[in-house]
Parts: sequence; structure tokens; C-alpha cells
Amino acid sequence: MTEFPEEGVVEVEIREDFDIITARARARVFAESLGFGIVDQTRIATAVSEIARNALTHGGGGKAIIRASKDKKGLEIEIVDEGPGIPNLDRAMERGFPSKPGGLGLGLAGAKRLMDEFHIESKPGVGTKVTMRKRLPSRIRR
Amino acid sequence: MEEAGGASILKIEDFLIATPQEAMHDLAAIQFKDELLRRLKETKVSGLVMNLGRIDVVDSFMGRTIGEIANSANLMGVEVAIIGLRPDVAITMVEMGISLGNVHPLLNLDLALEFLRNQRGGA
Repeated sequence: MTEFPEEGVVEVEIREDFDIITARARARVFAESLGFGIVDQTRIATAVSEIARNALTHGGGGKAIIRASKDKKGLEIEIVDEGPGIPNLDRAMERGFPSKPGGLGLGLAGAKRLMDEFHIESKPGVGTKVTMRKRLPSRIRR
Repeated sequence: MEEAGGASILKIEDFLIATPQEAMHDLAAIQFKDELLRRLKETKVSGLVMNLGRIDVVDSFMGRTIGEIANSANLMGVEVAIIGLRPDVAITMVEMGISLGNVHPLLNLDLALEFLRNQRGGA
């Protein structure tokens, strides 16, 4: 296992389809380097995939920032865009909202379920910022 | 064998076996769906095996795409079996609430082919 990358921050620009793959692959590798097991790696990669796609399709593109969380107990991922924002956040977080394909509902609610912490800030006309954290199981923490 | 959006599609007996590549981006997934449905029509097979063993993330988009393939194939009279889903991917899908539509999950290719032969025989 590698040293805990305290200073390590990985940034991935999200401008096209393929960047979603890059963002989730980098998050998986980062999670593995912190000691996360395969199931958590996949949960993290899947959550990043969902939120990065939202940033691309609804926010017109953005950035994923992956780092060890400040308390050194896990991984923190921030995904920001400067898109139109989400007008009704509470409804958007409901599973299945809106019902049209490609809607935000399953993605946001699903990502939230896969992570330990999930915060979303959205201002109409300014953009959206999602911050998600996953804690390492205590036996792996250093 | 043919490449479709970076996936291999093989024909065996009366069935197609499709294996999507690892890390398929959204456009490639849509190309894969279109090409696979086209090949189902062209080859007039009765069954499709989707080998998902190379896929390391099934998010809501990929889940929906696989579901659309399965449901479209069903409408065309093609039975769909899936094999090879990684346990970590399966756990994550269940936690997210992603289901794949009308597919028959089976343990391996032998069982999938046996299942599809029986479906055809019983029809």
C-alpha cells in the first residue's frame, strides 16, 4: 500500500463523454491507493460517474477534484460546474425525478446512497457543486 | 467477429454473444446498442448472451442502455441472458436501485447457452 497521499490532489476537467470515464478511473485508483477495497472502489467510481455526467449534460461541463479528506479518514470528491444550476434541489434529489430519461433523479439519489456524505449546493445561473465523502473502514485507517 | 462501439459480437449456433468493452463511454454505449440490435435483426437469432464481465462500472446510464437493449431484443422475439457481472458491480447496482429489465442472469456461458436452447425448444 502506498503512503497516504496527504498533499495529493487529482483534478479532472469534464468536457466530453470520455472525461467521465477518466474522472471515475482516477477516483478508483485514488481510492485504491488509500486502501479502499474493491466494492468501495466501485461505489466511489459509480458515484463519480453519475455526478460527472450531470455536470456535463446539465451543467455544460465542469471539474472533478479528488483528494484525501481533511480528517484523513477517507476520500473526498468535489464536482463543480458553472451551468444553469438546479432550480428545485429537494425534488431533484428524489429518486426518479424527473421521470424523463437522462433526468437527474436516479443519478443524484443513487450517488448519495453509495457515499457516506453527500452535499449539494446549487445556485440558479451560477452553477452546482457536489461534495461527496467516503470513509475508510476503521481497521484500514492510519 | 465484429467490433461495435468497441464491443465484440460473436455468433454461435442460433445466438449472439456480445461483450462490451471495459470503460465504454456514453456515445460508444449508444453505438453498441444500435449495432447489436441491427445484428440481431440481420442474423435472425433467437437468443442473445450479454457478457458483462469486462464492465467495471454500471451507472444509471449504462444500466438504462443495457435495459433498452434487453427490452428491444425481447420485442424482436429474442431472449436475453446476461453473464459475468462482477460482484462489486452487482452490489453497487443493487444499492443504487438499478435493474436491467427483462434479462435472465446466469452463472456462465455454458448455462446461458443451455438456457437459450431450452427457451427455443420450449417455444
